[in-house]
Amino acid sequence: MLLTVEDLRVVIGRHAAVDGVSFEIASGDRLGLIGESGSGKTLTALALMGLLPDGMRVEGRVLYGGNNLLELDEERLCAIRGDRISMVFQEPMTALNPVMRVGDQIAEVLRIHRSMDKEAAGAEAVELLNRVQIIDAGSRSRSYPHQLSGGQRQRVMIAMALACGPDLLIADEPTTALDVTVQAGILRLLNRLVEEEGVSLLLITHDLPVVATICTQALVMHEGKIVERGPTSALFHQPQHPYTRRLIDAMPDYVRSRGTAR
Amino acid sequence: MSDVAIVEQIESEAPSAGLPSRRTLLLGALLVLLIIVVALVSFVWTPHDPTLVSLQDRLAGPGSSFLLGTDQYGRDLVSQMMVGSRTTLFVGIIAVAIAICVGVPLGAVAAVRRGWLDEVIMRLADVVFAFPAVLMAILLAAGFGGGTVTAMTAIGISYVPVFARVTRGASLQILEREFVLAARAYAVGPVKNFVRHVLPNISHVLIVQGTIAFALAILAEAALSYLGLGTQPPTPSWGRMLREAQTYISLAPRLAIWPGLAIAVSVLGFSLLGDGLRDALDPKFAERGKGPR
Amino acid sequence: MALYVLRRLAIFVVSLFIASIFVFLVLSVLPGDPAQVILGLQATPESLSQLRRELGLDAPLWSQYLRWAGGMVRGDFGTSYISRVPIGPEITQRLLVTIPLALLGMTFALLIAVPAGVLAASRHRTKVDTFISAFTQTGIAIPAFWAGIMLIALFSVKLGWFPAGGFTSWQDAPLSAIRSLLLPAVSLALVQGAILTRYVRSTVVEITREDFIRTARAKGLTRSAALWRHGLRNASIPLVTVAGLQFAYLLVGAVVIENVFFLPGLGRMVLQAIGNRDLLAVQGIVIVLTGIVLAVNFLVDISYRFLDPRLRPSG
Repeated sequence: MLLTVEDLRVVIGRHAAVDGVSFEIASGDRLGLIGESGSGKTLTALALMGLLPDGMRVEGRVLYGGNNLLELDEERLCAIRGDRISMVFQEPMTALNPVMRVGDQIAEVLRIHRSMDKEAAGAEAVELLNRVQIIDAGSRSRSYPHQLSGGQRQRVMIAMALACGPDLLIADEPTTALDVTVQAGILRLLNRLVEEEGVSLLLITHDLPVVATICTQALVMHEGKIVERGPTSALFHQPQHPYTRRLIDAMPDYVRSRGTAR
Repeated sequence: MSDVAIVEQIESEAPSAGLPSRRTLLLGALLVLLIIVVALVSFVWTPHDPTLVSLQDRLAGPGSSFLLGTDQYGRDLVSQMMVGSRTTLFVGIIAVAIAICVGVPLGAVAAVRRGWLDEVIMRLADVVFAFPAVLMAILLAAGFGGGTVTAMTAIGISYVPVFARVTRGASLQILEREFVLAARAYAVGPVKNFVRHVLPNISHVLIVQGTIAFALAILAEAALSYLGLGTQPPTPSWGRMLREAQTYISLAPRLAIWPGLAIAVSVLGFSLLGDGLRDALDPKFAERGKGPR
Repeated sequence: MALYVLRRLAIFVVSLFIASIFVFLVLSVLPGDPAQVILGLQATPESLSQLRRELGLDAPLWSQYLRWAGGMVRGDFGTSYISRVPIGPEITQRLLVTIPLALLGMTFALLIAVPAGVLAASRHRTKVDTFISAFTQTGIAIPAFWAGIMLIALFSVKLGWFPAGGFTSWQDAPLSAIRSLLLPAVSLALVQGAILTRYVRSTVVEITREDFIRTARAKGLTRSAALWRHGLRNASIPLVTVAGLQFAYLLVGAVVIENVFFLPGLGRMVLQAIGNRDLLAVQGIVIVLTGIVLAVNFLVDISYRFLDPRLRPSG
């Protein structure tokens, strides 16, 4: 078992935004975490990475590599972040440093975890840009984020996240901020890379069709709790929980009938 | 966006400088009140006559008859400082009044009319802005002689651009928002419309800016009096007291310490007040606590 | 980009022009008569009018202005009525004291502000932050010239480490010259440092909230490393702007401070000129100072465009 989450709670003030969430991710799993805004799904992801904003209390256990990540000191966590567990965020425009070239930003991950020198990391960054299908990767790596399109920026984020070959990639609403036409491309890319690299994936989204296309297993979250879990196809065709049923019903028919990943 | 606009944006969005805002407001208000009380009291009573020269008492140390001692002419330090507070407040009030009375209408016109008038006013404001208060006062003092009036006018004029710009910026935001209201109210007449609708909504910005301008005016007046361009003898002024004290710095450093402290405390009072008011009057706070305007 | 630079340059020139008119008007609309001042009260009407003709004072105002402005463009600031010494070279001499003082002051201010501001921001809302903020509040409230006097009292009178005033020339004893500028620069830096610390702090706090800081941490950078490597780069852009704009106040502060420490800069010159009713000299000095302020604003405007890649033209 790659990652085990046991009874995770995130408390803001007196309100438990994440209330006793437990799940497991095995090596090679592709797990979808579905929920509407406010369900606590993003906070769950941030809690796994130890990147919650200040002022929140975390309880429970997140077991990875024999350690409870919630109790690990900052130094050990920093070694894991970007190297073993990576994250891709929702808004690529604000998630990238606007005054730094994208190639340098990708190279930075390599220099932190692989102690590469500037040239080697830079070359590797170009390679990575190629892998995420950015055309003219060489000159593109010298661009600034504002010079790229939304889809390209997200590809840069993905390249950054996969640079060190992590065990687990957490993707928080990776396509939500993108145009519909671009979304499919990003999802296909994610799908392919995850399979090629053998990376486990935790995909967080409110968008059911997205889960349908990529994930094998899915969790449904509602008001801080997991209300249903299971293989994606089962969830979609035989939803048990009333909330899940409502979500499925809200999907347009043509999407539902397109079928699921497995 | 002009660089100054960026600075203002940074300033306006800045979370209050790490000090709890209610305490800041209270402390500032207390200090300001203290100065005002001292100034008012000085009209009725001071321990001694501040202008009374008494050579046998010169450079006396702190004691029972002279609370903080005397200066090189035997004049009581405390009495001088009390009367000096009058000058400080007086200059501040007039300077800020000038700045507001000229700056706010200019900014309003620029915001409402836009177009070339807006450009011209803002460019002129930039030019005046290139003359910091002390430089403006040096210029006016050279031309019209020194003195309290010159100092007040110079300081006031040098702050006109700030108020013009702040008024313009804040008004633009309101006008954009309540554009429909403004358009409908055009039948009322633009001046009345502005005064009745826009002004109340920007007043908190102006109040904050006013207190901060007051603080800066105190500093400017002190510097000018120190240079001899501000308040002339025999009217006591903290800045001039420092000038005279500098000659005796080795004999009686306290002559320089106390007036300087008085200046610092006054400035601190007004700037804390301004900071506290900025948070207290922030519409976001108001919406949370007090309800809609 | 070139168009933008040209536009700002045009604004600079026009502003300087308007400022010069303003300065000229203020100093020529007063009841005094320079010829009278020079020749004294016993002067005969004939000698007065002759002197006026010599000095060009009988010409209409606009022609006098053009003479003065035209001269300045060529670098000729005229000759003082009072001291009979050309004003231009004197100003240049004095600038060699005032400008280094202002620059030194700004340097010290930044040396204080950047570490203090970053420290306060990273310890946001803790006791350290409150402490530093209290310090900046007091720093802003202290008159720079008072700080100068206090520093003299402590370091010159009591400890004797620094001279209480005066200045040796740059050529004769450069090290001694710097030593003379140290206390004045520190006085200026205490106030400016406090002001800049607040800007640094609020800029860094804003940036800490930005998403890309979170991304940097997700890559494995520690909180402080993320702030330093990513945040500072972004913060330096508005900081350069603020520092540049503050330079005007620093310059004026230097003008005042020179009178505390008896430094032979523009500050002392202008005060002496006012005392001597040497209005032509005052004119020249004020316009030079204004010109420097406008020039710095112009440079700041341009540099902002350069520093922020989002504002550069594509490529």
